[in-house]
Amino acid sequence: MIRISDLSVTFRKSWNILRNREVNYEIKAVDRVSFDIFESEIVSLVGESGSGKTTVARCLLGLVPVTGGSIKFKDVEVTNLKGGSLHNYWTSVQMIYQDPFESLDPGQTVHSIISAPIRNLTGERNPEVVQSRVVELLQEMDMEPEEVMWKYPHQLSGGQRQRVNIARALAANPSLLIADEPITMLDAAQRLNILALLKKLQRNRKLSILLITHDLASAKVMSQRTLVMYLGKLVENGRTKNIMTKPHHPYVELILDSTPRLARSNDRKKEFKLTWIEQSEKVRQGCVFQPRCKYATEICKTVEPELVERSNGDFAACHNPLNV
Amino acid sequence: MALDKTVLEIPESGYTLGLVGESGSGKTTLGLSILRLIESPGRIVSGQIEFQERDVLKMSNNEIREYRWRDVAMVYQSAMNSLNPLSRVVDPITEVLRVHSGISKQEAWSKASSLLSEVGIDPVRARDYPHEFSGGMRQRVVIALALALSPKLLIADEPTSALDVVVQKQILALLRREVSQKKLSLLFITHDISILTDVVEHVAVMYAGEVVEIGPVDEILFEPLHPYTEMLLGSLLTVDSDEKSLDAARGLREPVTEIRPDNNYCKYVGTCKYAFDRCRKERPILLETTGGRKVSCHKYN
Repeated sequence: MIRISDLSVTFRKSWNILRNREVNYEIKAVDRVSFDIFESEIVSLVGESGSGKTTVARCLLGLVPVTGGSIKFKDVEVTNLKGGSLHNYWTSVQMIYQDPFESLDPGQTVHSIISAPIRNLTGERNPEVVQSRVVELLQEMDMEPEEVMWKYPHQLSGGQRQRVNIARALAANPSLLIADEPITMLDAAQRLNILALLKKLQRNRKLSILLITHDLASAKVMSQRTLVMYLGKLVENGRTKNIMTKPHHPYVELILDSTPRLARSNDRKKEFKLTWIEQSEKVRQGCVFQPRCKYATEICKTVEPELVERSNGDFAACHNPLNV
Repeated sequence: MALDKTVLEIPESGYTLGLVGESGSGKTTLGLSILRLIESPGRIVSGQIEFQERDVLKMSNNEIREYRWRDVAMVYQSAMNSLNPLSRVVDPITEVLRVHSGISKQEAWSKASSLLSEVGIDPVRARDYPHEFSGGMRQRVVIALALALSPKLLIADEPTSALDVVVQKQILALLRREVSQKKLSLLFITHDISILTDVVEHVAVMYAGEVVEIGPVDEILFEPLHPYTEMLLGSLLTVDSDEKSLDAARGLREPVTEIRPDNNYCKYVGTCKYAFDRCRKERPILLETTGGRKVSCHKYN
């Protein structure tokens, strides 16, 4: 349904400083990323901040100029859409964001917030029809319409606000919902509720969801396929179960190792070996992860690894993949 | 009302206590109260805070200035964003050292440099500005700042919430090491119960302004007593979870945040699956059970 091929986004800045010396500043936020999203599937896109995952999302919505590559929605190129055709595309692809409060206009009621896309994207003008659509959407979100419809965002809890965001995004019945860290700012119980809701919506509406997260646990319970990005590159793409138990890429192994697990304290070694390695700024050649990789060899410093199938249906970009 | 007759104890040096609860439970307010940092219109209305047998609430301005940072220090939420962007990272550290210890500029610099290397930051970077550091590094600077005067108690309020798991693991290891090497006591406030085994030995669970359960970390996580703790654990997602974990979402409700003073019922009664008659008529108090656990629930009383 959605095919992303060699997508690249480079942010450039150059400016003249004293005596006409030009300074160039380039960040490859997304570097030749390719993957597909099929109908009615939930795909997780995992990565730390700075990995490029949000930029990929914004490209999918046509919000960021693409430097290279293509995005095809049902075989139609969407990277160069503008005006009316972009507006039309937004009835097919929508997004919800990390901060449920910042995404809502504090001066509008829930009813007003959800009616807007119904009117603007579906063209429905009849106020009674609009109202009944709002009621339907709120019920679909497991909320009581009469209780919430006339409230303002500040009168709702975090979980309720996020449901309003989802209702708004689904108003025009899109085929793809991008959820950018939708539960990061919510508490434990609210998180589970929202994830369960998203799963339900995927089943009932045959909706595809691209779940962007830095939390492997949400990826595990939600999606069958997981993509992992690091500094603009797609480093692993495979079935969630496999990635979480036998990853091929060392970076995925590192994240798994660092993710807290519920384990008794005497079951774990309390070592104090502290190594402060951070994401490096720029790697001129070779693998982007090499400075932090404990399995790196000579080739990793000079040749950039390609995304290659390493086991049945699982791809990794690594010269020394694990678990093969 | 943010805190409602809350009771907490840190009995000795080197004692690590995790304070866990959802937003609105009062955990941050409790942390701030210990340092008497509650700002108007909030007020500490009643109760007592004792530090090494000194009454914190009755301290004079001079006494409290000595107490803050020297006896008790805090790393608060989004602390890494509170570094002055116009100051070099070493500046707040040297300032604290000079103001509170009266040492010379050179001595302060040298002490600050060693504090920075202790948290894994190359002293060569001492003259850099906060924006030149990553979030994780800034958080470590803030930790160095909190440890500058060798406090006896460190309060850390969600110190790793905004950080990625890899950096989080390192920061928790750093805190463990400091606690172990300096016999530092730690009050670690978080909403993420899953990281507690990595950093504390005891846990207190908060709900609607009250501490509802206290115990050793392994027992709280694997044998919870209070129904709310049970619910918190039931809603936890880890890489070992699967789709079925989402079924627990049924019946999860948002926590009570509106607290009325002098309530004569258990605040958790609306959600509690074990609630019985007494729960609606009588407020439970924190009592010790056999086995040294403390829980505020009529089931155990």
